[in-house]
Amino acid sequence: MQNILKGDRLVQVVLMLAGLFAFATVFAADNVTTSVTVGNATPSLTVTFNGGNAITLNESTFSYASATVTITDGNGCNTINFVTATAFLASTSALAGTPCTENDNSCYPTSSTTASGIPAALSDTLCLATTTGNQCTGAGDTSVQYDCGFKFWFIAEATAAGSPTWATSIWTVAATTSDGSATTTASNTTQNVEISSLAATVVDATLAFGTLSANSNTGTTNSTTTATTTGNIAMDVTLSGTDMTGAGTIDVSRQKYSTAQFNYVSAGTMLTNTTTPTVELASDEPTATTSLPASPIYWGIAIEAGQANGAYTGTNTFTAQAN
Amino acid sequence: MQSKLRPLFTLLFLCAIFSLNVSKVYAGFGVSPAKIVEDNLIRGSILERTLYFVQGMPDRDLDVKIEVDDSPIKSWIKIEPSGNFVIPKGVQQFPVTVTVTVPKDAELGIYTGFVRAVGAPMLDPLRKEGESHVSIAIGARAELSLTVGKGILYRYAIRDIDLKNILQTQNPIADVNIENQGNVPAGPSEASFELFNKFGDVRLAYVQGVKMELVKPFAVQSVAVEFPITLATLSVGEYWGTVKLYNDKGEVVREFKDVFNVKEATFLDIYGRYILIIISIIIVLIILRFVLKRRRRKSS
Repeated sequence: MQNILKGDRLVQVVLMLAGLFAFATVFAADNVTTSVTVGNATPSLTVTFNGGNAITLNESTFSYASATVTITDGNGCNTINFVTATAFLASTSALAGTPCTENDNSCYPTSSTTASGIPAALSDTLCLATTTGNQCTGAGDTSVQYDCGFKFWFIAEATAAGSPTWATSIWTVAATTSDGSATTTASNTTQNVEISSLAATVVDATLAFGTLSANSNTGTTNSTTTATTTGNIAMDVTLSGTDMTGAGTIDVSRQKYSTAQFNYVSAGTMLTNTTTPTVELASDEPTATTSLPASPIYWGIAIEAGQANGAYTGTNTFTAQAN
Repeated sequence: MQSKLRPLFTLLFLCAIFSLNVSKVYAGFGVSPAKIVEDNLIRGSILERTLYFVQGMPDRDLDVKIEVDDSPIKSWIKIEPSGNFVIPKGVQQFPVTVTVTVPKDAELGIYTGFVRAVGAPMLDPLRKEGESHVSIAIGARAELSLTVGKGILYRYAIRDIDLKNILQTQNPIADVNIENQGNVPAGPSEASFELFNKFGDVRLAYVQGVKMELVKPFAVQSVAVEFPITLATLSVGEYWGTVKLYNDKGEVVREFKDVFNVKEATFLDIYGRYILIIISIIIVLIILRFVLKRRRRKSS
């Protein structure tokens, strides 16, 4: 009987030890080290350009347009360290990531934005984190907006309806962003942004008819004005003028003009005070801001017999229009 | 007599010496777009477009005359402003609204019209007073190329969608910029909106069946679409929103997802309109009281 009791106790002790072991094992499981690697999330972006509106250029200088780039990165917006964008003349549909070389006619890349700082002089052609829209508020925030500025020169190709060469094309912005590990490019695929045609001119000339006596004309000696194209399309002009007044009146029709040198007696078109037929200039579309198409217009005048001597003044008008 | 006058005339001819100069002018001038082309007009159509008269260096107030050139369709074209006016110094792009109204009895065909602006001639600082000269004025002319036909054209383009930042007291709003390129009213007919948390992964609200106004023929219009969400108020912060636009067949014609911010509403934002109403009532009551007192005094 005692032996039986001893055996029961032994079983009890063994069971207790087994229980203790199991208990210890369960608790020991809590101390297992867990690990996970959070991979890099590729940033994604959406692009909108100039509110979808057509861009109007300024003659002989530049005008600004901007694109808004919204970037989302699952690792947080503060991981974004690079944003750049390019506005370019595209085909009829927006193309993502189309590379192009900087060109005032058709390709406007912004400078790169990095965390290292931006020269102030370049700040108008950069992608900068917005100060008015969706800003990156730090850890936990996954999206941020950048504003990219483009400085469009007056020779940027016109794409709007009725434009001479690129009427079936559009302007697109492709933006690229990176979080240091992954790079993404996207463009404003849902928009059709146009640049409007601009017919403009600068007439930079000092026209001296010289000294003329009454009852004479300029003959084969022409004076010259130069009409320079300062828009993005080839242009023509219409000309008109007023009578010159002073001690008397010199009728506007005494002035003649031509796009080629001429003899007053036998050639040239008489100037009138109403719009004359279009003067076809030989100017082409400008391709560089540094060398603009310039068209000379040659002038002559006749002074009638009996015209009183003295100073005379008048106004001639050059009106630019599409070629 | 004639022989006595001859030397005098000869002397006059010799003395009639003219020095005629055209002043040096540097200011440029232009128009954009240089051409407005519309091929889908029908009788009774109204087309509205904006022309910009541009100067690269607007360093002075510029007197300008703008007018419609003579043409068979001159009476169809109205411009605002028109006649003589001043483009102020510093303005590089001056907008002029051009409205073309096609008469209901217009002949079908292709028409051309012109809008012209001419600036006053620039004074040449090098020119001395009393010197002979021809000043040069520069202008620009835009061409209107219009085709009046019979066919109905239903076509529009969604130029842009912008989710506005809102106050806590407001519903989400999307500005939808639509260009009606056709000759009948057109545009998306309905919109829906999904509201997501700042991570864009938890949907918080959904609104559908929000009706949209159609855009007039040939017009570019920004349509504000408000989405009445069922949540009492949104807390301050960042949200994602997805806007879907549908045509009249219920098909999605555009989907747009973007971030917008909900900002804290100030006391005036929340109660401003009530305060204004109360102040207005008080003012009306004061005026009424004053009027009544005056009447009583008169009657007594």
